[in-house]
Amino acid sequence: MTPTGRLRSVVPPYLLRAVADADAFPRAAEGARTALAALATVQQPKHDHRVRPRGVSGTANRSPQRTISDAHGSTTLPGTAVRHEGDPESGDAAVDEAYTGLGDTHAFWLEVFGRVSIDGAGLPLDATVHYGQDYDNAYWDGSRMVFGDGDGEVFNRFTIAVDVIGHELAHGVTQYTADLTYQGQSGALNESISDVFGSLVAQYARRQSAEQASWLIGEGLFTAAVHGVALRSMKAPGTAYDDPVLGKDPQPATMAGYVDTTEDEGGVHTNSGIPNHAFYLAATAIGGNAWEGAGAVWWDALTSDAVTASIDFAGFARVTVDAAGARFGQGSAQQTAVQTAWQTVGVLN
Amino acid sequence: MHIDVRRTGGFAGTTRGWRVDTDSCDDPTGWSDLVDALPQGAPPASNPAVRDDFTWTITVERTTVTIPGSRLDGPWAALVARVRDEGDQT
Repeated sequence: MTPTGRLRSVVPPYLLRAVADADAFPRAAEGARTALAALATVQQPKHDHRVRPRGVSGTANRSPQRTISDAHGSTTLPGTAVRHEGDPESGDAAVDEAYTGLGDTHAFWLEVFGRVSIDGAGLPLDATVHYGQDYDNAYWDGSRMVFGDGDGEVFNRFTIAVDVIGHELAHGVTQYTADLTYQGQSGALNESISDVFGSLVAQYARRQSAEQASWLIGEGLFTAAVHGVALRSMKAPGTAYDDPVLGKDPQPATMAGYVDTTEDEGGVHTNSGIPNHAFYLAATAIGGNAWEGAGAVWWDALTSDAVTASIDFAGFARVTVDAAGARFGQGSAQQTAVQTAWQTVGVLN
Repeated sequence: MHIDVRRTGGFAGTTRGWRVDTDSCDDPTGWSDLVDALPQGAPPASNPAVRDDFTWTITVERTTVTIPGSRLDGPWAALVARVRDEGDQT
């Protein structure tokens, strides 16, 4: 996503000031159209290809370096640092959940893939909690995780689910590896990679096999008032919630349900259901611990030079099939499982 | 004056919307003051490194601006907050 690409219209200041004046509205509309036309000519910046560190750097500090800050309900970052590495529990649930979740995520990447922190070089892990008022979100700002407390009516605090913490940190891992462009299919892959590894962080922390895992994303985030079990289901996309206020989980499981939209960077949180489901199918077909089977294949793909920033579903799928062959053998059961999974969701023929 | 506020994206990927007709509100002058206070420069651009951010689309009559959630601040944030508090969900 480019800095300008998200702007539907950049409104000149005189038009904003004139909004209350009915006579000025035609000019406002014309100004908006002019701004739109100008935006269409803006060039995308060249993709800054990132170094892809693999394995452990000899000099990297292998211990997590966590700092949890408290925004105290403001939207000013980073807020006040309230728990540093090695500090005892603070007694604040959001602070302590973030600290523990970052530790679980750090351990996952180090112990499973030999990667020291999200950049492979021991990057300190920073998070801010209690961000904003009734803030129903968690996001990755390029260098830190930010967690809201939820509104208490629909959403609980976003630190409540370790897979959400793993999801946000996986955005950092993707940023330092394939750097998938956050738009359309590559954006949905970016989102799916975060759900995949967020889910694997939770599965690894609980030592759950693919058969034992719930394959839900954000379980516990909804309050009891919501008709739903989680925000997304990798096992059955589109079934996580069906609620009078929120509506129904819009995720498709297959390409037949692919959603064409300009919102949400082209439906990155919606169409991620398709690669999510492919991962689930591959992981459960392979069986055992998902981080050792399909998870390892997806990691090989994410760090492969064959994955470009703007790759589409089919391109990424082919890289995973190749990666499964390279890791487990050509024609292996694992490679067949990966190939079949992508065929089942309609991405590969 | 109609003001529409729409929130898309975010971790959950759900869309929410709110709308007010300030002419039928008790305090139309207060709303005019909020609109008059909007910044004179272009709204903040998104940071391309941010993931899972909200996107706010704010329409005042026929003028629409889009602002990334992580940069919604000051008078824009004040306007959005009041529309959410007093507007009808769309």
